[in-house]
Amino acid sequence: MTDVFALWRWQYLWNDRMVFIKGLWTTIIIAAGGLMLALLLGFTFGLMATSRNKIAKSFARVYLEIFRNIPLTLQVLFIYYSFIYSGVKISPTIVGIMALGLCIGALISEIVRGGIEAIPKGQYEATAAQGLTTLQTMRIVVLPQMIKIIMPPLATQLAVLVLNTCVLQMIAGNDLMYVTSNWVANGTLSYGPAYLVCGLLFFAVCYPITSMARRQERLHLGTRR
Amino acid sequence: MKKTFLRIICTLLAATLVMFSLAGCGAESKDASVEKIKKAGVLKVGVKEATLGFGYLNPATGEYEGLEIDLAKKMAEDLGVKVEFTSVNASTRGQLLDSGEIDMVAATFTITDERRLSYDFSTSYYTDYVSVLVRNDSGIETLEDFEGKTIAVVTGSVSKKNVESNTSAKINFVEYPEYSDCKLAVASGTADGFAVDVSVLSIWVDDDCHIISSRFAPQDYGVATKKGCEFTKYVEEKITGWLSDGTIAGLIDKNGIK
Repeated sequence: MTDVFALWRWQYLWNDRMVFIKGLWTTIIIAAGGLMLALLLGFTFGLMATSRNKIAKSFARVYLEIFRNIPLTLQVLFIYYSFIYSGVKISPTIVGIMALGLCIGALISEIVRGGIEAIPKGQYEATAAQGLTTLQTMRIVVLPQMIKIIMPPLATQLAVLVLNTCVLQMIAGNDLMYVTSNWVANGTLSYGPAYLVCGLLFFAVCYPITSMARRQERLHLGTRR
Repeated sequence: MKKTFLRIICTLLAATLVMFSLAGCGAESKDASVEKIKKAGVLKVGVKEATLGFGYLNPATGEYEGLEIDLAKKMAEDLGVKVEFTSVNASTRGQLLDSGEIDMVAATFTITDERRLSYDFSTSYYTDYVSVLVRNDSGIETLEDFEGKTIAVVTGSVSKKNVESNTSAKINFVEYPEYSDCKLAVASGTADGFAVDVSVLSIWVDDDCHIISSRFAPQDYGVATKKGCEFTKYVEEKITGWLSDGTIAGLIDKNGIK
């Protein structure tokens, strides 16, 4: 049984280290692209959700409910199939960025909405009394305060994004999880070291993010007290 | 900063320790041997459940059937024990052997030198090849006929590489996540062929399509047992015996997988 972690297996793993480094790199690229898309969508729909325009509001709601109530796996498959069956050649990396961006974007829109609604009503009344437009109110008064509130949950979503690149395995996304399972299914079938290293790599990327989020949160709570 | 760093190191160490200790559980005494299997009264075998002719869980009867199932049943019969099947796939069969959950694997497990470092393999009982499924009206009969045409393959599979290294024809490839998508692509005309192991392809043969005569990229299937366990020798004796007395040839015939 200890043979599962035998030294020679680690040597095989070390020889193929570039496979894992490339997988990690792809995962980071997908997460970075996904984050940008998610922030764009999240802020747009978050603002729409808090607006007084009924159509914008319901639009934001529909988007949120669709993407947070359907498994990410299915969303990925749906996007992938839509492209290949319409004859469009698409790289799994782009599918990953789109699927993760759309899904995490929905969650971020909820965070943004929460952040905006956390600003006391009195402040809006005050800005209105000062003659500020809605846009000015947002830019000068609401956003600076809101950013502080939503930073920790946003960072947590970034970590979620990184971890969720795993679902791309199904469509051969070349992400870290995919290259790991591929490596495990080939060659010497040395799953022990491979899965361990895969887990450690994910941890090494996500731990700094989540711990930073926690530090931020504490800092923020401290200033409010 | 220093404290954070220390905390990370500790967490990692703890995680590693947990993994190793879990892996160590039940390490002793689970190595398969003829004596232990007889004492348990059951031979536990890892098989495929969706590979027609090899290991197939028939939805109509709820019973496993196929060449590998027959081999396992014969093995159990000779040992005088019952047989118990567990469905496995490429990412669970090795792990289940290692943990002692199953005694042997007969699940279209291709023998390679690298895999021999991790598991014991019997002499090969069947050699599978890669081939291509085409529509009957396509007029395609060999790999060369695919010049300028499109072949569907499953994403991440080695079939594409196998096709390319066996022909000089310029072939386009389109990748799909599932076998069923590849078959659909052929049936609908999106692709001209669907390439994978013949054992897998044979499920998708119907009145409108057939497998071309070209066979390439041979893969030897063997019965895998835990590395260095005593049961290996017994399995090897049986398989070589059944190969030389024609038993296996008969079973291959019976299961219709020529």
